[in-house]
Amino acid sequence: MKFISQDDITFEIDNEVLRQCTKICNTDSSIVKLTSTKSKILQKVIQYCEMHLNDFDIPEIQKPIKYQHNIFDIVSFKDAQFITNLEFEEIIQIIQAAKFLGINTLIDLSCAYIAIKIRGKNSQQVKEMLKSNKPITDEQEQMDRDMEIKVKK
Amino acid sequence: MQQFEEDEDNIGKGTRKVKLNQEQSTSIPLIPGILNMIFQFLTPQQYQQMRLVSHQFNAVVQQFNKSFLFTNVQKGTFQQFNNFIRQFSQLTKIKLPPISSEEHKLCDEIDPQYLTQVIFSDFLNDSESQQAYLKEFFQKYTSIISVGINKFYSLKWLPLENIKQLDLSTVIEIKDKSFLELSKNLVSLNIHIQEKNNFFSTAEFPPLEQLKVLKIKLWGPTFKEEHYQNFLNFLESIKNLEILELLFNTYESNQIKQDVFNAFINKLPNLRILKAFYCYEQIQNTQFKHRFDYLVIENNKFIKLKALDIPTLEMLLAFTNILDITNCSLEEDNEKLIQQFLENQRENQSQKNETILKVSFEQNHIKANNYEFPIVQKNSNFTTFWDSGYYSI
Repeated sequence: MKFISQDDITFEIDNEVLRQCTKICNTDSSIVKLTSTKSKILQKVIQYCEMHLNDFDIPEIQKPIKYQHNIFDIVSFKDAQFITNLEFEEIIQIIQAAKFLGINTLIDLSCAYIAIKIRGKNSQQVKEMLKSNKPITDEQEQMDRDMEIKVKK
Repeated sequence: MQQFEEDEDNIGKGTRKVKLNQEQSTSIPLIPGILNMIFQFLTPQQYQQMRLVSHQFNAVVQQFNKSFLFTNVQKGTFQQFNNFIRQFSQLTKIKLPPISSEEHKLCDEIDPQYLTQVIFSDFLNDSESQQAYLKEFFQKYTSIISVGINKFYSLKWLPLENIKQLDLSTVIEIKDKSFLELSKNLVSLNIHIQEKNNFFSTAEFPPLEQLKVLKIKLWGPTFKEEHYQNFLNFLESIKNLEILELLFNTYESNQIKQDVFNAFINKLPNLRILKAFYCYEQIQNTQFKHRFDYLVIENNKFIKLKALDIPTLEMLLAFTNILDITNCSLEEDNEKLIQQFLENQRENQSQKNETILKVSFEQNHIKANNYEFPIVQKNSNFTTFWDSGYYSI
């Protein structure tokens, strides 16, 4: 199967990798267009699936997370390392892509990590955490807008 | 404090953007759908806190999954009461029966981690045993952030510094307003002020900077001329208020004075949702209508100021458990969006335990579909009950 990202990058996906994508693994279509996912994000999503190529049963994360636990206490080391190396902004986009593809374990991993990071914080602290690292120029904003319009068409 | 800026052109299209401000405009947007998934990993207490935090980001999330048990226990049935609530170990909200002696204790099997809201009914804490009970209760249930009472002898037994929501709406006589000194974290206050309360007879009001929601019931002669400046001081102390529900008691044909009404509006620069009952004339006489997103008068009649849109609906739902927008009219463009939004509300499992959404947009073809009160047990003294929006944040 092929995944095509918002910025028109094509990714070839093995059937083994596809197994994680519960919403599309049984579809007949050979091409899936992810019109709201950039290639950088899609790459991370595929990386996650490849990481779990041989994992047939990923344990569910317990809800709610105990106050004293951090992400390394509740998921495998490789998952914890994967998620902690990502920016908040990337994680939010990964959740959206994972939702579309039905990768529930990745959704849970991402949401649990964010929950751990924001719990107990006040609005100012959350605001700081959610600040995008990338300064947005007018030009970039226009480019993003153009891209959105193109995708909608 | 965030400033809500509105894009006037988009208001009628149901696509109004509520920006925080320039500095925050590069924040990563928190989408309510994703927030719900994130918040599943939080304890109810953390969830409640984040709900309020996220409100400040204009990413209001839905009521979290909570169970509310309204109890009405007759004398001699406390054992039955304890047996009954044992099945609700993850109860988050409870209305406690009058507890007359120390032998009557709340079932120990309710997990203190979950219980965040409590309502004391007819509980007069004027005896030593009751005060000891209260002390023990709050020592155990440290997650409680919301308290409703009707007959407390003194508020000093409450852990006021932890409380975010305080409902004193049925307390007729507030003898002492010093409780405000400790209520620095209060987000929502529901209060009934009568002449005999002497609430406005002194000039000092501690700043309640976190207070966003005020439901206030005022009785006619409350405002004496000489107390007007004190009243203004009170408004100064709650200057970050965003939602005001003003109910003015009209018996004895009193009318809220125009200057009193104006003071509410003038002194509260962040106010954006106003529900003002029995104040129709006063609203008509003000020049401030343009300031509000949502304005309700008598019997939920909606004064159409701006189109009812989803951000406003989300905000209302975050603070109201029963939302009656029966008489609201909708813009044609956002009707579908709102209909879809309301449908999603009804389908949302986490809402089913408590939130009741009352909707009837007959003219706009939105089906009336009231949520029934969930009944847990009918054939005993115990029934679940959601008694209106009184105990909502």
